[in-house]
Formats: sequence, structure tokens, C-alpha cells
Amino acid sequence: MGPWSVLGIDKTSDTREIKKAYVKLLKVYHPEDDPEGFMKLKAAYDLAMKNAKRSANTPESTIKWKNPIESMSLDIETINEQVNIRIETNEERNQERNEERNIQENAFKKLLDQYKDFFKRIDVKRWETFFFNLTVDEHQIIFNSAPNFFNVNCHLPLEVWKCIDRELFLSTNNNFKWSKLIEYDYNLYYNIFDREIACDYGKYVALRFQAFEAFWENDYKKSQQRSKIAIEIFAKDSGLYKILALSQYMLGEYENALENFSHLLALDSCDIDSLLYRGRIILEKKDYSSALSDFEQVIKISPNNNDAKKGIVHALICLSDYNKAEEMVDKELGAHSNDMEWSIFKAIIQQIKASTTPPSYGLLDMARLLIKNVLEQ
Amino acid sequence: MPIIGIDLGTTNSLVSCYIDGKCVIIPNCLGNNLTPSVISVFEDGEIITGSAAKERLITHPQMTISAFKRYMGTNKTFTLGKYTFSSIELSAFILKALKADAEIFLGEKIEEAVISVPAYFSDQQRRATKQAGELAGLKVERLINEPTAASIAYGLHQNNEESKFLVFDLGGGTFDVSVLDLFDNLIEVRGVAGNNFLGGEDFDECLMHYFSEHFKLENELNDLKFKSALKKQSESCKMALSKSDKAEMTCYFNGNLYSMMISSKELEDICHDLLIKLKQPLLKALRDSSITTNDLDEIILVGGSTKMPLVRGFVAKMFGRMPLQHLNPDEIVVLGAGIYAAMKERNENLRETVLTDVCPYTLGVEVVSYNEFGDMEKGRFLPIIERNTTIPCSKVERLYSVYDFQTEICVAIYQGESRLVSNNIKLGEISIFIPPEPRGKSPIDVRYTYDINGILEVEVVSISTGEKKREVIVNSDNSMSPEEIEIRLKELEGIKIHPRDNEKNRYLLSKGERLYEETLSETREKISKAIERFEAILNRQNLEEIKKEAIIFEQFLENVEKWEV
Repeated sequence: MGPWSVLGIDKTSDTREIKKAYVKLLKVYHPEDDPEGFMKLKAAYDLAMKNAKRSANTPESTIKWKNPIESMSLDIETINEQVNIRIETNEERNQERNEERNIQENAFKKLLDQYKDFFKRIDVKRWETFFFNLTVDEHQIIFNSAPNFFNVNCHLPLEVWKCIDRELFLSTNNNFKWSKLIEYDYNLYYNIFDREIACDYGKYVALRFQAFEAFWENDYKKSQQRSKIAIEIFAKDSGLYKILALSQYMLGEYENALENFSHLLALDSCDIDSLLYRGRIILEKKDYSSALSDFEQVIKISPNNNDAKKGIVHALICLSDYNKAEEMVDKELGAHSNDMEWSIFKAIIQQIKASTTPPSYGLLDMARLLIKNVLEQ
Repeated sequence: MPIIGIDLGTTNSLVSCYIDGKCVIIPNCLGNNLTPSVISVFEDGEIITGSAAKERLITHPQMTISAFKRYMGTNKTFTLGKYTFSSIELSAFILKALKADAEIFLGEKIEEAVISVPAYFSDQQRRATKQAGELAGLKVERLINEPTAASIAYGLHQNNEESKFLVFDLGGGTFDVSVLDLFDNLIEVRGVAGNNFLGGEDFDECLMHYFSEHFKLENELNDLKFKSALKKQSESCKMALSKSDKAEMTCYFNGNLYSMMISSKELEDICHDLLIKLKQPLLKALRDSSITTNDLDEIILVGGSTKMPLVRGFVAKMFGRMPLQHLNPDEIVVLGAGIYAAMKERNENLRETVLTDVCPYTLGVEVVSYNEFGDMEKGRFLPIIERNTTIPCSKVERLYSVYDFQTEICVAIYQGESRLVSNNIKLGEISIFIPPEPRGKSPIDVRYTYDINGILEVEVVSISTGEKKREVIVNSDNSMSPEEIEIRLKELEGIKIHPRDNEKNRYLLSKGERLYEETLSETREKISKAIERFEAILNRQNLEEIKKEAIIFEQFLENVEKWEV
């Protein structure tokens, strides 16, 4: 039975008529006395209303943010330019529309004010106040266009993202691109900027973000290039140095990468990433004992770091300390007998030990290649 | 026999009845509409409720309890002298007192009541409220959501046949927002949201901590007597700030007088975090009900805490207009509950009106799902009935076995909004046997039915065997079986309740004792003399004389309170 026959009316898009029929029948299928009948009636009513609303053409105002805020001068005109609000020509609705438009403009103006000032933007307290001071309408407007806005204006500290997410539920919104920025900490620091030093921080964080994005898309050339431009604007950000160094490492520019990792370690001698990658580069350069010391340093900070353990075994083999290497491999195999990589190490060591003559350079080289592959997978 | 309406509040409770086409609030034995939701035990084990008990919060904090509604549906117990009570039993004492007031006022026996509960009350909290009714000797077939009750009172109060409105209900301990649609004798609740731990009491707490921090008295708050005295001062100060821009807060401790002026602006700063918490439910209720602020005809304030200018200002700012002022926010809920009781009886004046309500929480089941990489993710929440669905409602979902040759499926029932069941509340579980098949081959149907009282029933059917299991969800931890209720009822009957006739005198004496503790030197002396005199008169048991003297004593105490002695 279709909804219309349950409601006892002809198909219509007049919601009032549907509602009237529903209310009339409620007395027959009263929710108190006839729950089953009521549920059937309610289902028919919901379906009919949905139908009516779909056929009555109600266009939603579409708002699209074309550009990020960084590059724009800001005033109401740009807002109008940025915000593509559908304007109805219908005379009767004009005034109402204008009012709505005013509220919209106001809401966006507040949002832009909060975003465009760099130090306001990175201050979570200011965001909390900003949200608290929005009216219900303004909040709703910003809620509706939040994915569009924050997809292009996305240079915010993690704690600000968390605050925005509490208010606007962005992380569960499918139209929002940067849910991962809310979920994980990517070391895009914001607590390093000094208000007293004149610098285009807005441009800097935008460039840094481009570098970050390129790195995640495996476009290491682009991430290196953007990092270098960014460093010229602001050079005290270890997070950016890391992106640069990692990009160089990926591109095989070991000398440059080595210099940058050493720079990072001078700032923070306990930075695990830098120690690991520097260790790997030094291995490449055949300075095995220095590499070993980098890997051992990692184990001191984080005793269960698997990458560091593998680095150590690698360095030990190259230093011909097979027994120590095998001892370590056996220990790891005891704990994770299914780990392919440790099994490969074991096979290599046994191969080397089995040959009576010292390992030919070729074999060692092949082993190194194998290990390198394992390490980088 | 009429059905009465009861507003069982965190701070105050009220009772009403629909008489001759109109809902009337029934006054208590002191002649007040509001009965404080406070219980106190005397040294001889007698129990007293209401205003007298409230006075004893200051003088006998160990023997007195308030705001126990906050613990409805939990296992928490309260020790008062030789007794230990649950919040259900404490509520039952209040309900008993209200029932007695109604019986005297109406001149007939009362056996049934409609009790209002916060819209955001969970299933357990609703059950607890019903049990409190049973322990008080009241049949409670129907609970009504407080904002819904308010809107019934409002809807029938105004003449418009069609309107949409938002009810902002901030009581002593709970906060609710409801969006309603009134159309041609249909009152339709479109959406509710709220916070069960936010109310006027929290504003008092903020003031209390502000005061004690200012005078470095934080550690002294461990002293229960000092704490209750300061709490009362906080409440008075908060209320005074509803009438003027500045108010004084004073408290004696160890012979020292601490006093400070507090301004409205300061109150706003102190309570800023509470105001922030008011905002989310507002947005959520509007969003869920797909009604915009433009569609709203009115914003109705309900609950004593909305008398604070701070709260009114907040609401006005949020909506860019003034909320409705002309209904008494303390009384509107009980009026609605009384009208609803009459609707339930199908009182002829109200026969035409139909009310549909919604369920406040999403109800669902724990499932295992596979993510895009084909990995199994455990502990996911699958909603079956989504929040703000009109009730009664019934929905079914088909689920499948997860492992090869699985022989049993355990359906775990959850309530909440998180996508992980670990963040939601578990209501129960049902196990059913299925024939061993490769995974995904043995289907079961899980049907959730939410009835008009907000009680959930779950039915699980194994499709291949046709086996059916059905269960009304009762959280076994804190619900009582009918037998247990019977036993506890007998026990409670053994407890002596202070005789109602004497309650007024008891109240005056308790108030006298409280004022004695709050004042110093000469005033104290005077109060002490007056109490002694009144006690002597009571002992002579001359009713005429007692009545006359009570009036004098009451006047005297009022003057003391106003610092005129």
C-alpha cells in the first residue's frame, strides 16, 4: 500500500494537506492505543512528506570558497565575490532573502576576521571565544559551509583543529579533505612563531603545508623545492627541516640530507627520525661504526624500535661481527618467529659464516642490497 | 479518581491536578507550591521532607540530603543516620509527601500519577523514576518529558493553531532543549538534546569555589557544615543577582566573618564554562529537528535557573531575540504534567489533542565491520533506532555471522552516539544459536521496539531455525524486581514519617536553628530565647495557643533573615 492510500489523499506536494490528513488519522491510529497502526501511519506520512519536499523545488544556497584567505585582501566585497550566493528574483521573497544574506555575510565576516589574523588564527582560546559568540543562525551557516572553507583554509595548529572539530564535526564530514590533520600530529608546529619578529607567517605556513602535502603524495622534488622557499621566509622550524631532509633522502641527495639531519640533531639530539635516517645515510657511506652509534642511540631512547635494531644488525654484518649480529637476530626471531625480514637476515649471516674464505666483496654487496631493500620497505 | 501530575525536580518538586477544565497547582502543608526536594532524618529516626528538611541542610548536613535526582539510575546509596537509602527511595519520600498534599487538597485517595522527567533521561533513569512512584504507592503508567510537559502547558495556553517553538529547560540539575511543532491539535516533539549534569546547582558550586578560592578556604570545604552553609550563601547570592547588579556573599567560619561583593559581570565570568555547555545541545536539537531559527515562533524558558538574567541574556544573544517571559518557569512543567494526566484519562476537554514524542538517544548494536583494506574492525556501533525518532517505533536490522561455523551470535545492545561501542552505554545482551555455516551465511534479524513510555524491547530471530528470543531491556545492576520492591516497600513502611500536621512547627524550629548558626552574639541570644519559648508552647499542646504563637515566631524569624533584629 502506498503512502497516499494510507493517508487517504491523492498524491500532492502540498505539505499542509499531507499534515492535515496525518493529524486527522492520528485520532484513529492513536499512538497510545494502537502503536502498530500509528507506526504504519507515521511511515506513510514521512514518505509522503519526503516526496512532497523533493518535488517542490527548494534550491539550497550554494557557497563555494574559491581561494585560500592568505592571498586576498579582505573586505565585504571580496566576501561577496568569494561567496556565491544564489539570489532569488521572486519579489515576495526578496526581503527575507536580503535578511538571510545579511546574516550570512555577517557570519562569514566573523569567520574571516578570525582566520585572516595569523596570531588570532593559531590561538585556540580565540577560536573558543569566536564559537561561543556566534548566534545559532551564524553557527548553522558556518557549519554548512565549513568543509568548503576549511578545505582551502587549512593552516591551523592541531589544538585548533580539535576545537573546530568539536564545534563543526569536520572529521566525520565526507566533504572535508583534511580529517587526518585532526586525527594525527604531523609536527606542523605553530608554537614557534614570534609576534615581535616581522615575517609573513601566513605565507610561510602555506608553503610549509604545500611541502608537507607534496611529501605525502611522494612528489619529493616539489616538497624539496617548497621547503627551500619556505626556509627563506622563516628558518627556525625543525618540522620543516625534517620535511626537507626526508625529501632529499628520498631523492638520493644524501649529502644534503645528511647536513640537514645533522642540523636537526644539533637542535634536538634525541630526534629518533633524524638519528635513523642519518644512520642509514652513513651506512651508505660505509662509515659503519658511526652508523652503529646512531642506531644504538635510538635504542637508548626507544628500546623497541625495530628499524634501529635492523640498522644495528646491518652495521654489525658490515663490521664483520657476525656472531653478535646472529645473536641479536636469534633473539628477535625468538620473539617474532614470523617476521620475514629477520629470517632473511638469519639466512644471510649463515651464508656468510658457512663460506670458509672471507666473504667476497660481491656477496657482501648483494647482502647489503637485500638488507637495504628490506629496510626501505 | 483523578490522576495527578508531578514535577519531581532536582531542587524543588510540585504537584498538580486538572479540575474543571483547568490545571491547578496543589500547595503543600506550608501553603507553598514548591516543595524542596530535600530529606532529613531526626535523631529519633523520624523522616521529614521539604522546607523543614532544607533548613536542616545547614544545621544537620550529615543527616540531610538534597539533589539526589542527579543519581537516579545509579547504584549510589546515601547514609542518613541509621538508614541507607538509594536515590529511588529518597525520591519516593518526596512523592509520598506530594501524594499526601494532593489527597488532602482533593479530599480523595490518589493512586495514579504522571511524573515528568528530563527529556534527556536514559532508560535506566526513567525506570528508576517509575520505581520511586511504586515505592510511594503510586501507579506510574506514564512518564512525560519535562520540556514536552512545558510545551503542552504553553500550547494550550496560546490560541494559535499552528506554531513551532523551542523549549529551553534549565532546572536545578538538568538541562534540556526540545523543539516542538504544534499543528491542528497535534503536539509533535521534533527533537531533543541535553545534558543530565548541568543545572542551577552547578552555578552555586561555581560561586562557592570562587568564594573559597578568594579567601583561601578550599581545604575548609571538607568540613561538611561549612560547605553546606557556603552553598546556601552561594544560592542566595545567585538569586540576589537576578534582582540587582551586585550582591554580597557572607559566611562565618571559626568565628571569622568572610564577605565579598559579587557583580553580575563577575558571575558571568565565573560561570563562563557552564554557558559554553549550554550551546551544543541548542544547536543539536535544532539540527536534528530540521527546523531553522526563522521557523521558530517562540523560545520558551522553563526551569528555575532560567530566571537568572545571565541565562536569559545568553538565550537572547543566541537567537537574536527575547525569549518568552510571561509564564512562570518554575510552574509550567507541573501544569503540563497535570494536563497530560487528564489527557491520559481522555478528559473530554482534551480528547482531541494528540502528542507524539521522540527517543532521546540512538539505540544500536555492537558489530564487526571490515574496513577498505579488508581488515576486521571490532567494537563498532551500528545504530538501529536513531536519536529523535518519533515513538512508538520499531526497526529491524539483519546481521550475519562473522566466523566460519559459528554456532552462537551474541547481540550486545548499546545506547549512545559514538561509532565505537566502548564510548556508549551497554544496556544488555541476548545470545542466540545459529546453525554452523560459512561466515556471512547465517542471518539473524534484530528488531528494536521503543514503546511510548520510552522502554526498549529487543527481539532476535534466527532466520534459518526460526528461533525467537525477546527481552525487555532492564539494566540488572540497579533495577529491582517486583518482589524486591514489595520487600523494600514493607521496610520503608516501618520508617516513621514526621506527622504532616506538625510539619509547619518543625519547619519553624529548623529554620530557627539554622538562623542561630548563621548569626552572632545578641541576635543569636534572641533566637535562642524565641526557640525555647516556642518549644515550651508546643509542649503545652494547646492547639489554639500553638497556632497563635507560630504566627509570631514565623514573623520573628523572617525579620531575623532580613537582618532587622
